[in-house]
Amino acid sequence: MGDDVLDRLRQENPVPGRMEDLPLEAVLVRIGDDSPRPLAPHPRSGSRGPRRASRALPLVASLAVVVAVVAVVMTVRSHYRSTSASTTTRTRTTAVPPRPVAPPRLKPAAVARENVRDTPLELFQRNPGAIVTTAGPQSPETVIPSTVRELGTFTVPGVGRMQYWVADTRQHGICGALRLPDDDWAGFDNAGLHGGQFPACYPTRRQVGAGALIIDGFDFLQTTVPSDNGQRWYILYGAVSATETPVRVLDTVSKRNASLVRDSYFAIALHPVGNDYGDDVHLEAFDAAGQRIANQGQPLPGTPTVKCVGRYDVRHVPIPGTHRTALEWKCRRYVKVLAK
Amino acid sequence: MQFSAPCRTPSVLMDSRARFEALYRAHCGAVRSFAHRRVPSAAADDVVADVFVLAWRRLDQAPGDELPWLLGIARGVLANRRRSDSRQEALRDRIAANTARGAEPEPEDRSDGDSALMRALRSLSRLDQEVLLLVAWDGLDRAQAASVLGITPGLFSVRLHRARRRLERVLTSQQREAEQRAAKASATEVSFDGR
Repeated sequence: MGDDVLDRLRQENPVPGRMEDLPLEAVLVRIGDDSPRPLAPHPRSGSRGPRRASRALPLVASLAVVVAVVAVVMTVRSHYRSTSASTTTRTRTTAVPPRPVAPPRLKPAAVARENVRDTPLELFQRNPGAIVTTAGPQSPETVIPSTVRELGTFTVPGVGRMQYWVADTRQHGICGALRLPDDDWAGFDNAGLHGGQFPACYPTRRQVGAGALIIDGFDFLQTTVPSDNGQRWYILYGAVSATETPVRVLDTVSKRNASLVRDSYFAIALHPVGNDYGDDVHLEAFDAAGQRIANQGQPLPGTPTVKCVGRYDVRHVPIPGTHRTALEWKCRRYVKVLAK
Repeated sequence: MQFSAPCRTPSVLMDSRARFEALYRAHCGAVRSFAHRRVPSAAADDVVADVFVLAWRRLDQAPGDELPWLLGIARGVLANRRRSDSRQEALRDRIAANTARGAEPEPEDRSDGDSALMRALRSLSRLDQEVLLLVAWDGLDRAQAASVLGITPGLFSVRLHRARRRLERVLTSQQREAEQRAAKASATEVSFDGR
């Protein structure tokens, strides 16, 4: 029956065969004056060679530093020996971090990539992933510089150690950004494997709320990072706004716990096997007593939500590329109620 | 880069351009079909353009077998597109879905024109659907499909086997339910006749 199922699926193919090409100009217009990026050695490039090279690089650098320090010490000793044989010296070597290299000036079209090397404060001030809602405050969130802090780090297998940076906003929203092991900010290299939302300062559902949104206690961003073996991790990071403090955040679909839960913030890395597109996720937060304090999609008790009190309009919507239709349901009238 | 003035284009870019155009000619149709099978026509051509813009930027990373690589990018573009929809829109959909769920009629009342097979397919997880469709609709062999998903061919075979089994199970249970409904209906008719 197995091949039979595949054969039957083949017969249901909405676009059998190969379609005609799009005009090449449609793509060239988007490319503009962009050029191909040279293949840089990257820890997550997927090929063994560059990864090994990048692993060897710190070793070579450390050896070079050791050799340099020894050479300096020898020179200083010989200098003191030659000038004052009886003087004893204590040399203290301090590790001097390399000067940061200024990021190259990028064209306006590539402004998003410019954010990759921002400091946390610069990133939140730029707010590349600013979310403007139609139901809530229209003004963008403004970061409070003194609140920018590294919440903590967590390890994603095959990727490395991620830093989670957060901040508060003047409008009572939150800012969040994940820094990758190579110091890039997650969300910018949108090359198929690596993407998701830009880091952002964004309004919470409580801010937007007022019956327009479900205030389920979860406010988070999403990002996708590739692991060493070319597969993807889907990382959700944000905050739980329940009255009790969460100590555990669980995805009930994959049964995975958040890697980091601190000060009501969380970051959870989900493996793509169970969460290929990130749609099959259901978060729950628990307090220290093990009580569930937030359930994704369900309003927190006492928060405003909506209820359909009118009839439903049901209509057939054509499925593009096929002769079939699907049903679409829309409530005619909602009322605001307080969740129990 | 000046495509309209090749005499001024640096030779490196000329090589890249020729390579890109060859890549485009070879695979645009397949990528377009892939996109149109998964998203509405209006959005699909945008996805295709995005895929080739990314492919242009990553031209140096293109492997020997380019189609799975392009389809892998297309999957990423589709996933990002889905995720980058505004939170407002997503939540509104969720509200509508949550509130509508309670008032939906029984499945047998729905006549949306889909075949039982497609309904069964949609009931599977997205990963299962993708595994089946890469083979059945996109006509990829297992090695190519595995490459699209970024997994080994062996693992892909396992997933394909499991996805087929799950689809068969759903189809069987749908068929059994239909038979039970038919039997119930005929039993009701008998009781009416007997009265």
